Amino acid sequence: MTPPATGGATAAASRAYAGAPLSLRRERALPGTRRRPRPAAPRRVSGAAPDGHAPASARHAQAQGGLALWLRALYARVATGRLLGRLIAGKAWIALVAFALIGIVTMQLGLLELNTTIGRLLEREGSLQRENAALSIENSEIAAGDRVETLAGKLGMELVPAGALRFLTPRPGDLARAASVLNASAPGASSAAVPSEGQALASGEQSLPSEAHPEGRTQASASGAAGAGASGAPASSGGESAGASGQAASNGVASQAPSPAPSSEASTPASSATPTQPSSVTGAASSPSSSPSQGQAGSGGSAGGETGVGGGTGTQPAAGQ
Amino acid sequence: MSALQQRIGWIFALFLGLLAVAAARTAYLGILRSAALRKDASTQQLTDETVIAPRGTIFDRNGIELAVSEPARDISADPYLLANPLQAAQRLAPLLGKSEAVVLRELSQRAGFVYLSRALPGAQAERILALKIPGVTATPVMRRVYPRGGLAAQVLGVVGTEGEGLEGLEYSRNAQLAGQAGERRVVSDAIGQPVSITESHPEVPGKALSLTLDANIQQRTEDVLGAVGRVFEPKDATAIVMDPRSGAILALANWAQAGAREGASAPDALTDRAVSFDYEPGSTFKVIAVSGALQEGLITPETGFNIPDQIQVADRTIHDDTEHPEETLTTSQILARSSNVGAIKIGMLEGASSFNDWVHRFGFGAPTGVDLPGEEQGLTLALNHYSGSSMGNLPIGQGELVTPMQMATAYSAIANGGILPPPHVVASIGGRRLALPPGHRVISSATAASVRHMLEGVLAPGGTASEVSIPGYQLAGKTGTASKIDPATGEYSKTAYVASFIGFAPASHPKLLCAVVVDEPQAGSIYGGAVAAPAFGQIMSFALPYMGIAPG
Repeated sequence: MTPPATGGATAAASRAYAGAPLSLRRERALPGTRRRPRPAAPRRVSGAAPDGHAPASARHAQAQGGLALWLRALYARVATGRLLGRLIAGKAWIALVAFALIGIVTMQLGLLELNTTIGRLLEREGSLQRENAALSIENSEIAAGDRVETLAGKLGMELVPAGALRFLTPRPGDLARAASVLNASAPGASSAAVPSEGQALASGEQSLPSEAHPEGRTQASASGAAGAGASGAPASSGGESAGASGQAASNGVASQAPSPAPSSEASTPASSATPTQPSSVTGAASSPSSSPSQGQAGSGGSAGGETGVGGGTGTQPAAGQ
Repeated sequence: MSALQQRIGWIFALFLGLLAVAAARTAYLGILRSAALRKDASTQQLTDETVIAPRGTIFDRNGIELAVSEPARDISADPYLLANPLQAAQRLAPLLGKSEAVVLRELSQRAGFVYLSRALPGAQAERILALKIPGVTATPVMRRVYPRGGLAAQVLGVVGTEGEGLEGLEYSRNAQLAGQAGERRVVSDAIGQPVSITESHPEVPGKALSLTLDANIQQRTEDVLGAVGRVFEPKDATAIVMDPRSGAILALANWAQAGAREGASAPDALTDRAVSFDYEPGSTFKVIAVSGALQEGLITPETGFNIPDQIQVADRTIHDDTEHPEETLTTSQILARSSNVGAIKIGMLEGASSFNDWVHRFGFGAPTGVDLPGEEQGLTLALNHYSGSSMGNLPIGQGELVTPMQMATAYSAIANGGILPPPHVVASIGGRRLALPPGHRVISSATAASVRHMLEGVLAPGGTASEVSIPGYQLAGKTGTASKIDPATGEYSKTAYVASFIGFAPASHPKLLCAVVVDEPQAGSIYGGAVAAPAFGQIMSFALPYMGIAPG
């Protein structure tokens, strides 16, 4: 390490040299003579140094020397100190070091385990992504209208022809009746309303040959209930719930059908219709053939929509479909 | 020195010796073999993985998946590393779904890299990797699956092998659908278990796209167009089903769509002709002339016109479709019977400047702005290019080019009380509903109502599409049968026609609009009333009850 004094002298010399005329510097660099070693400190620009300020190199060297001295003093203090002595002489340090070592090893192991877990989770994420995609694809394929129609057809249902869709005109008393049903649609009241709908469409249900279509009978009762809701029978919530159960009862066919669309759309005519517009109804009573019409409540997209329309009669009596 | 001290000394020496051996070994591995081991470690233990971002799912309006991304693997091999290519080919062939000979030929190439299969489904790729054939590797990629096959193929488009959209919405919405791949550094232990995973750039999954399309209406529309294709053997056919109140497109089908995605049919099978097919609309365009004249108060639905079966305009003589004695027809009858002479008389009453203005007000000569790629803007004659005979053919839909989308949008304005809605197919991106430009009024609601009422006559007895009806629903629409220009002669062809029908229901408060355009029907009939109108009827008879639209 360069002592500060030396550094200062070198700097002073270089300053003096830097201030010499050019001719003098050339004379000193005569051929055959040894070149002077390059000054350790960078050459400063010409001009006198400000008084009372040591050059930067000198300050740096002083700082380094100071740090070394300080470190040496610290070492001496610690080495001769009683704290370290007592720590090393006693058995506590063994426990301390052991604890530290075990802690480090435990942390490392924990980290390794964590990373391994992350790796496993990433693999799981990949497999779940695959599974998710596969399920999405399956969902899309299952919801295909053709498939739903085919399955519904096997259950004795068929898509309602556009002309078979009937709508009822609301009668003067319907509004008050619907309002009273809405008021009475507390839990318990709705369950009482359902049988009355079933009774209302009893004829439709009976017209289905139960021997020939044992499954269709289930459909018939469910769709009959939905149709009853549409026909203005005094059960709004009951009508809707019956419609829902009708869809659910169709061996999953209706639940796979794009029911959200029709039901959401079904509210459009209901809400936008004027009281003079005919109200909608589907179901056994209005359909030309009882058996197919029974299936409409759960048979695919259109059926879902019609059921929704039917349900809407009760829930929005003011619109009147 | 006691025995105990001696033993302790020996144990100390032993440990010292072991320490020295360990130090020597460490020095050997850490200094002498450092470079080689570092290189091995970087290749064996350190992996920089690209995390492929899943492409956004495309849903229909009911949340039915129309396009799904599935994790898959590209299977590749380094033939130089294969000790026994024949054996490898025998094991790989059944899993790759290829013949042994093909796989062997691939594995016998003099190359350091060869693809054995692209975008192989994940489970299949796992089985291949389980074989642990040296030199066979798998790169994770995403595979685009269209669960409904060719359904709405021209709208959805297709994705290339590198995962970029090439056609349709996959192309135009690629930025939102694609997402951004991430990067991950994985350090594995000797048995391949990851011991350190650092994600330098997390992947950003693509955004889901919700469309206004309804998969069931789309399916039905494609089925109907398929039947049109089989019966009339046209060159092309396209159909659009739209909610005229919002401009939401519920179905957009093109024929022949079968095998379009697989490229089994014509090279332009993925072209969406609803936006890219420029054609002369023919009689469906007469509505524009009538609407303009009605709006200007020049005519009423009951205004009578003296109609001969032909009319001379400048150097041209234009005939009606059939010969008939001179008769008086009202505006309604002119539309219902699709009289060329009557439409020309109304157009001439309106004047070239005014007619031209109405053409542009209805959106012709400019793209509709529908969010589908490749939209044509059609071609309208500039007013200063009108000749003496222009008003003899423009009001009857000749001399201008339109797209099916432009026609459907123009009719939407009539169905929507005079307000032209913005046609669109994308409802939301990433769950965020897209803001649509507001529609603008073209004609008054009273004029629109008059035109709608007149268009009911087209499907009434005596109209050009009187055979089409849907029980319970009042339909309105217009047929069109337009001659095509024969490229060879530059004259209107006597054999090539475009048959079209655009209509809506219920006529008084339309909630559904359908446009069917059939290009060059070859077999059966060539008339819009016989070719396109029945297709319209079949589509609407499904869609109206399906949408829960009350008859009226």
